[in-house]
Amino acid sequence: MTRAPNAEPIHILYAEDQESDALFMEQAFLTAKAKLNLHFLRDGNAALAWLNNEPRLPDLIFLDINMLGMNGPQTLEEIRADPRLRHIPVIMLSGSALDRDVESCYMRHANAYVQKPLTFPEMLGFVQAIENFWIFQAVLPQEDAL
Amino acid sequence: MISPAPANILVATPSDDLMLRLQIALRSISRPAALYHVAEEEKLFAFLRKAPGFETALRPDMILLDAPLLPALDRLKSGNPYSPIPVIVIADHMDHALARDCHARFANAALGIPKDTAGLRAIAGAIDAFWFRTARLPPNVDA
Repeated sequence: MTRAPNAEPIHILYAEDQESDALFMEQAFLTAKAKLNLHFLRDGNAALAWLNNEPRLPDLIFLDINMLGMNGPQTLEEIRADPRLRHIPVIMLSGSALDRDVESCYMRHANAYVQKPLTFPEMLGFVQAIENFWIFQAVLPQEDAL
Repeated sequence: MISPAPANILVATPSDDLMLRLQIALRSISRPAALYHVAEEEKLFAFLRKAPGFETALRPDMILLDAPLLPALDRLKSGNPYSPIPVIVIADHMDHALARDCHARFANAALGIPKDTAGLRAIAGAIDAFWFRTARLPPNVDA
């Protein structure tokens, strides 16, 4: 494990226009072992505005693909085009399992693509997998690293 | 029950020792994994192109790229048919600055590879749980 559970909180930005999906994930993340700060925003425009004004950038970003306003793939392109933001890992969340959607997100440099969990046990599995890989094993970029 | 198709993992590292450690670690994951090894950047692209010497190579589902071969990442992620393949940069000593550089060059993740067996199994388990049981990988025409 590269990160201790009592380390500084991990900041996660989640752009999601369905409040029920956001609450569902919030509940599941309460079971996480790591300290997490989840910040929800309703679409890509709101996420980019927040990122441009926030001195403490998030460690991870989750983007829903089908948001009204600026959708997930468009938001991902904006993040990847911005030198201040491009290093932040972005995980795309979608109800779609279509190969073209999956490939298109990876082509735009999404870090990963996950089909949205439909049940609470599936959501708990998602949270565990995120924690085990992204928080406890992977080395995340940090703002003070340069 | 039908067994899942093996995950094709291409390991690009000049280190035989690292390759051996990964082989041992990935034996413990739930999805069978077929590991392929190339030791240098040009061999990596020859493998992907199925160039002479690699005619029977299968498109990998994932690439584990050792940090000494990091320049290959820019070629991999430059908008070509291989760009969607997830690339996890691995290193014996992965720090936050190197991780930031990897992510700014569009690596999919950055991992430090421990030397101890328990640490290796934990890494392999985390790769399995996230990449092979939670994430959707890009479609693979060779699968």
